[in-house]
Amino acid sequence: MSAVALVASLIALFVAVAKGILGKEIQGRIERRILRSVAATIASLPEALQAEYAEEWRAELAASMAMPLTAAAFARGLRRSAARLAGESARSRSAVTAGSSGRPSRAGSRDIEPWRSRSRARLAGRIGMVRNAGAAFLSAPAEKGFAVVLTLVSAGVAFALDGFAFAVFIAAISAGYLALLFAVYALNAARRRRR
Amino acid sequence: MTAPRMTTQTLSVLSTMLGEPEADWYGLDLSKRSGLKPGTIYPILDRLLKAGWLERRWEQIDPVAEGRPRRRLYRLTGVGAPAARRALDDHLISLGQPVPSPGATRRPGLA
Repeated sequence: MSAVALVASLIALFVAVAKGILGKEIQGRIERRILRSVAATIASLPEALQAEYAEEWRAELAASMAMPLTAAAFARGLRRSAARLAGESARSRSAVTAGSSGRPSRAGSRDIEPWRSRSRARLAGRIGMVRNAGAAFLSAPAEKGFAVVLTLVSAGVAFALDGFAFAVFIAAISAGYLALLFAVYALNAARRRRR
Repeated sequence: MTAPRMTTQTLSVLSTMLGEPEADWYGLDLSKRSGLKPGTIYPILDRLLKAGWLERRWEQIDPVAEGRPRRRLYRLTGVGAPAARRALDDHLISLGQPVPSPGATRRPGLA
């Protein structure tokens, strides 16, 4: 066997082993992340709802865990569900009801629970504002045209490049786009402060 | 009990369930069959439960023997099934579409 064939076989063997190990590692990490996300979602629910949904959601998640992308989508959907359920529960708890005197009474109701983490609430707000800034930017026809032209030019350049240069270009485009969104966000924030 | 708020998603869930009104459904299957994003269905089920249109129970299985945890199953109630049919018919009328005859099998999904 020539040296080249030996090296090629060793590389193929290494790639096969590494692929198996890395594949399992990545799958394990994805599963752990999904489980953690669902646990956090359940923990974010009011106690009464936690008891109601924890077992059901864990059972549904277990059924979809063999397909990590479906499980991840399910976990994301649960986050939205949890927010809505908590919101509806809070609204019904804080609803003003008529007391025995006929006057509005808040007996039996509780205040809406605040966000558990102030920094998380702030971060969620900022992400929402950046997203809105991006949406507002792209909703104007001129900017939309600019974005389309920029995307087409980027795609053309990316097509002409290869290897490392391609990766650097894509990273630069992504960073540039994020910087643009943050700039629009900062501009909007500054405008709001002035008002 | 008041009637639940009717959204397109709620109608889609009801339409799917009316495809097999006697069947028991679990959340993930229901969201797949009704075309909703997985995991987003629970507020809708919660509203329908509170309105008395659905009932739910735990699946009767031995989790150890089956190798999976038990699921929660949802089913249309005696009140819910005709009310859901009425709601869907009202929706079709509002869209100017023909209402299927009472014996006709409903196709899951609204389209």
